[in-house]
Amino acid sequence: MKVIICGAGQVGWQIAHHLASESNDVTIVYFDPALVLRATDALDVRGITGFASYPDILAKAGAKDADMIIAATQSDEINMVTCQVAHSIFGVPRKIARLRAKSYLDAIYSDLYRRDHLPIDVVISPEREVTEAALLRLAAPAAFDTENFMNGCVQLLGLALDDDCPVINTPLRQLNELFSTLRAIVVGVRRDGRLFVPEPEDQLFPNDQIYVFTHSEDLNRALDIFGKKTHKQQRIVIIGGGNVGLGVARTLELRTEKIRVKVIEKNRAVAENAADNLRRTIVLNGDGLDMDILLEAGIERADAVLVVTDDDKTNLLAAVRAKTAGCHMAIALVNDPSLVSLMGPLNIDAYINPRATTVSSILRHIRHGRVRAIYSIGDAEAEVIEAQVLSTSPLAGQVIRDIAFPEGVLVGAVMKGNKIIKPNGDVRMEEGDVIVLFALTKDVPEVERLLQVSVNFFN
Amino acid sequence: MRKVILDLPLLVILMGLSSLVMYVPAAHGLIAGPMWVARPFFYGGTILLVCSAMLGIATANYQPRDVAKSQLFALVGAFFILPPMLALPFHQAMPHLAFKDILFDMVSALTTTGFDTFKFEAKMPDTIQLWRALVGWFGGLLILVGAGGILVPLGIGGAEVMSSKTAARQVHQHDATKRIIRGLFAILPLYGGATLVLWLLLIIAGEQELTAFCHALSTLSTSGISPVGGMNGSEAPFASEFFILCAFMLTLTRRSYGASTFLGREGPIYQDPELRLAVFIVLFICVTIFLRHFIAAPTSTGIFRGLETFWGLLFTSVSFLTTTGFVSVNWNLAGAWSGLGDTALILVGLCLIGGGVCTTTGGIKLLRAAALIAQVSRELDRIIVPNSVGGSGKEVRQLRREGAHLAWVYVMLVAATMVVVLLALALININFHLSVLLAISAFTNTGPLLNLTTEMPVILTGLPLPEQGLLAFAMILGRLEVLALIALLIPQAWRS
Repeated sequence: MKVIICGAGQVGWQIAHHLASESNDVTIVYFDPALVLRATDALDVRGITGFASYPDILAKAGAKDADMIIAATQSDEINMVTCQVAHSIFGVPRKIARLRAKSYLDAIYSDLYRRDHLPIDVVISPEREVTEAALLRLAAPAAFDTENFMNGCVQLLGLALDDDCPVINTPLRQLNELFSTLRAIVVGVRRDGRLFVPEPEDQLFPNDQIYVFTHSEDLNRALDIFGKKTHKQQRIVIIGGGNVGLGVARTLELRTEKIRVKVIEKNRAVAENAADNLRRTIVLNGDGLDMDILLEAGIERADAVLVVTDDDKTNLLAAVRAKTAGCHMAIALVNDPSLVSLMGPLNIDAYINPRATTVSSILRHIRHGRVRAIYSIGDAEAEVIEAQVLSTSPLAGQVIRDIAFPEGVLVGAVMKGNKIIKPNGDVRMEEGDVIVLFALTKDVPEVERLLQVSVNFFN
Repeated sequence: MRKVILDLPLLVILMGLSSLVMYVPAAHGLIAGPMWVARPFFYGGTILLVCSAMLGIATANYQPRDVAKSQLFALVGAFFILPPMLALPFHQAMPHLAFKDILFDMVSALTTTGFDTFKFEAKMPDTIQLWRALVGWFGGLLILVGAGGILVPLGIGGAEVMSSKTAARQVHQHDATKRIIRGLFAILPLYGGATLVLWLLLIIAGEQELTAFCHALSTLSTSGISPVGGMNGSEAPFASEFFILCAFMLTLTRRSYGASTFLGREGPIYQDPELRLAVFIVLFICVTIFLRHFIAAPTSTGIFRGLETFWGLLFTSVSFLTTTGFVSVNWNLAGAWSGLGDTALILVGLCLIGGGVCTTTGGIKLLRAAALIAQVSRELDRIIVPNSVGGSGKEVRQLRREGAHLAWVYVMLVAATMVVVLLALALININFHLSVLLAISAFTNTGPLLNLTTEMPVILTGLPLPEQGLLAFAMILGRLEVLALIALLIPQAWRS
């Protein structure tokens, strides 16, 4: 597949990295020659220097026969124009634009991005996605990783097991018999840094990190069973008042239950902007690493701290600082996936990786078949794929037991119509069903093949 | 022709206009009143118009070096030069009155103060009453146009609270004249129209035509001049009070007369800091006083009486907040009801606060008060959370930082001026209590305050010349918000 990526910033870079590693033909367009050079050196991509919205630059980048263009520069307007140019002049079939401004993202304007208006097929907004991810983390404070699937009916939880977990040393098969009404299934276990898909006879041990699919109605029960207490979060401190911090604070303000949020922001102008857009929330102007400011925000009594500044190291340090000061839980935004392994030693409860959220929303549009959502687990160790079963797919009409899934793949949930079913071996896959699969990275191509249109479709 | 007239110096235009206004009482006298009252106004108007025309011819080629300053000078000068002109026909019609008293009365009318100077004289002819109210109305128009066209572009007159420091705009010659003319044409229909509508409504309510007209003029100009001694002389007190209360709303915010032309981005009207503050103050005071009487009342007197009392409180407090000074007929009910003492001192506080900036009201003005309050509440927040950042938008932030600072400067100026006036009055042998009242009522342009708050009546005509002069000067100072005079004396210097 031929893809043009405009912009070599965080988002553009990560997308390029991901796409190039999946042997797509990727071209990066950016006006800064140094960055383009760096990208072409580090990644398996082609680089063009110039303004992405200029038609001649796009022509040079090969827009004529491109399958997809991803406009991810810093400027919303450039991204829009780029998509328009790609559509009007080159007829690029798929156009994805990154838009940040809230006004552009608001629902009332969603009609704007129709084909005959402003032809953008998919709008991605890293800030908005990270905001949603942060809210999810706050909702399930016991989990270190969470993601919604099937329109929010099914949740993937990443749980770290303690010594006092009640189901330790129990085979998973037995668990299933013990709690037969619980719609939850363990799909992945990380033990000693290695992620694997458990067999029915496998047991869970303390210090395991497990990934569980659960129906959202059974969420609290599932957490109970794995020894996680859910307690109400009423005082939340957010460090970083940029788009993400502001978005989270705003959503929390709109909640009916009374949540007291305090936002700490270093930059005076940004802090003022945040204060203007919030009503009840108190915005503090100061350094999130400063103990006095943290105490002023009442960190010792806070239920959770969410650190979402744009600097990874600050985020980690501030989270540690907040935890040592007595905050119950710390969530940090981490851009660099290699820092994720530090979470344990630093005693940070959860992290948000903007790359994972953004990249998954883009990957969704690249994968074959009817893939509806993709979520990348850990440092690209595994993927969770939500897909619709096509009539031509090898899955259709088969009982799950008979499907030749590779070893590292497990079915997390099946949705028939609007009903979520716990996947037994006897469930028969039919056309139109939605299936969520947990797949180790090495088995992803095979999963794709299974979801794909089969060859005899064309005969 | 029109262009030639509009190019004349502002002061000459104002002189011409005030001569023209004299034809109104002349016409009234001709139709309704004794001819001997009409005649001086007709002759006076004609002679002064001719004089103004000659002055206009003489100054037609006058090109001021600094237009903004020259216009400010014209505005300030108007309050010194117009009163003698306006007093001239008055004195001709009523030769038995001392000219100094008439002059004092004209200053008080033109500054929309509305002292009842001739309270203890024999009843004046209707035409004279009309003339007094009309001068008040003309003074109101003068300050409305002057505030929007002259004071605000210079960054004074209330604009200093709203706009940032850099907004002290350069005034160009071309713009300056045009702005005033544009302002006049924008304001006159509203101001005049509102007056006419109120007049009609008051007639419908059952007032005499002349009383209704004078009350309409006095309400819109917040002078409070009444031919019948306020609401007590009204034929239909309740209905009139209701309509007048509605008209007061116009004087509570700068937005009434399209002043938003200079104070740009505005939220919806219900978020207007001035209106909100006004509503809060009035309700707070009404409820407090009402409860005070309610709790102290020995016997229950029925719900209707209670409502009447509340209405009296409401009307009177709004009336004094706008520095008009009409007193509701139900005002004294509260005291009579519970037997508690007078609460009139609260009205002194109300007229010190005043109405909206760039309106005809006097006092410190609601916007400045709002700026100070915003700052106070912000500072209180900061006591609890020292590093917190205040929200609610750029304008409010401006209001409570530089705005509050400048408002505070203004309050201090007012206080200092008031003290000086007060001391001077006390020096020339008026007792202290009275000096305070005189100083406040003159400075806040709320003449009727004097009627309400003293047990012993003040005979203004009996005051010697220096005291009258001092009061007149205080009225002009209050009308021009002190800053205008300072700006004239030390242009641009006081801000930097």
